[in-house]
Amino acid sequence: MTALRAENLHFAYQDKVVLDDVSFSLPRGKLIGIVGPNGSGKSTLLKLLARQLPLQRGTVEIHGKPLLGYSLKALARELAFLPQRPVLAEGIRVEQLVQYGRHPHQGWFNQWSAEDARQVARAREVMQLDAIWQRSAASLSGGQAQRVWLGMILAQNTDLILLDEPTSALDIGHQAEVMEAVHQIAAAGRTVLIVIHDLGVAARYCDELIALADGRVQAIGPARQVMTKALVDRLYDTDVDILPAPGDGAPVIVPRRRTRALQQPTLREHPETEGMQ
Amino acid sequence: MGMAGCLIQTLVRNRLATPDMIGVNEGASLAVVVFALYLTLGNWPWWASPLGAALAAAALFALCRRPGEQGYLFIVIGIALSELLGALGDFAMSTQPLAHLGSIYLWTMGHFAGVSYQTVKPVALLLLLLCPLMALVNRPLALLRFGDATAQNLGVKVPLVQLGVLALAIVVAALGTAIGGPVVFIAMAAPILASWLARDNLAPLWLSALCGAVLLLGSDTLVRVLAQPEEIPTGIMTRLLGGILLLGLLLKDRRGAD
Repeated sequence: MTALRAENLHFAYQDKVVLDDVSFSLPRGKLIGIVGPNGSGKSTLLKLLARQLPLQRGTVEIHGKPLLGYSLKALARELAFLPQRPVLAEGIRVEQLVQYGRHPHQGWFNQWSAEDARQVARAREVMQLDAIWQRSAASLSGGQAQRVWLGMILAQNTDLILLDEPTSALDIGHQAEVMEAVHQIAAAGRTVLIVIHDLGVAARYCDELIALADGRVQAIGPARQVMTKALVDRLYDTDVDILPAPGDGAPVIVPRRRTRALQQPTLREHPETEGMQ
Repeated sequence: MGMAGCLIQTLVRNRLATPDMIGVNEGASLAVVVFALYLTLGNWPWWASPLGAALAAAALFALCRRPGEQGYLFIVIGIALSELLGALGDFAMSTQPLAHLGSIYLWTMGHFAGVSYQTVKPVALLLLLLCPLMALVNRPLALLRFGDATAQNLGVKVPLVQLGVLALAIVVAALGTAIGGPVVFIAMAAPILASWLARDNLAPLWLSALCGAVLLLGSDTLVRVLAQPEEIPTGIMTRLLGGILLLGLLLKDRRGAD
């Protein structure tokens, strides 16, 4: 079953072509990563799909219905989008922020329903927000804050979830915390499309990958098949080694040093300081 | 004024963005001054106020396009515009003999002496008519505090709401100005007080209106008590208190930046 189908997408800022003839479809219930070098059009693609940018050419269908056939509020019940740097309203608490995820399901005459309360409670449980539920959102660590945003997205209760680099500003501990949370969301049957900078993280957590470069799809398919040395070398114009991680065999990508750099003298301690405190 | 302040502050996501800072009030007051001095003799032209405010806002838009995207630029250009319109108002008054100016000069400082129900009644009625629209924009406005992207993700028609909120703010501020002149700083202080009182409310429109009314009444009473038996424009007291508040805000920001 296809959750989203994009065909012949083309997007340009003035003269600069950012996306050129991009087509793919997302199978339901999978975690799909978009990878590619800086400026390859990853974020633009995500914004197009979330209707944050106008479609210039091509079509997007969500659950078989054209993107523009949805009202914004109806779309917000099918698709949730977390921007790269979401803005925190000053002084807001975690509970409130997650509750705002229910906005698309509310109207003038149904302000807060039992279903709203149920979805918020579920988001709180899945994202493990119990300990910080009453805290001010501004006081949280980067990883916690991202979990809270994911909680809001989850409360929105959409089939499709688009995340724009949710781990880019985090250290590896918080990165793992957030990616585990994202993985859990997908495991619960949601279709998650996520832009990831880190190739290792992408290969480890995603079911499928879409590799973008120069605004075109360079490769698409199961994560571990897509992540080959040939592709990574070509995408990033570099020379890498790919080794299996000791635990689960997930590919680990290590760029090689340029040969000239290897011949440079290495920094070492002065012998006379050795053995001194 | 409190309500208009809350609308614009929330929209631009900056406490300094209020109708008196960005030139809306000065535009309103300039229009009233021009009509009062040159065009209508006798009647108080309160209805010129929204006209002037709308023109000032249009000028502001022509100068900086989108308010949400570049809040700081919006404010800085607004302050310059405000000065310019204020100067034009002063110029218009300077062309008239001093004896004619007494009451209108005091009005441009924010003065409630001699305001009659002839002005207050139509203004209050119009404000009442705008209340349903306020209720309509209140929740989407609160969501705009999460930025345009997140607001749209939650189903808010961002450009429409921005435009509607701005139009409402301009009309409401202009109607407020029509009564007692461009009373400054109420629009800045009232929403700050309201947010402080209702922490969980991201856009406390009604409470801001109430706080504005209380602040103005307080300032007016204070002025009367202090200046007995003279009548001093209330705007002078709000400007004094507002100046202290503004300094406090800026110093707090600076401490935050350090």
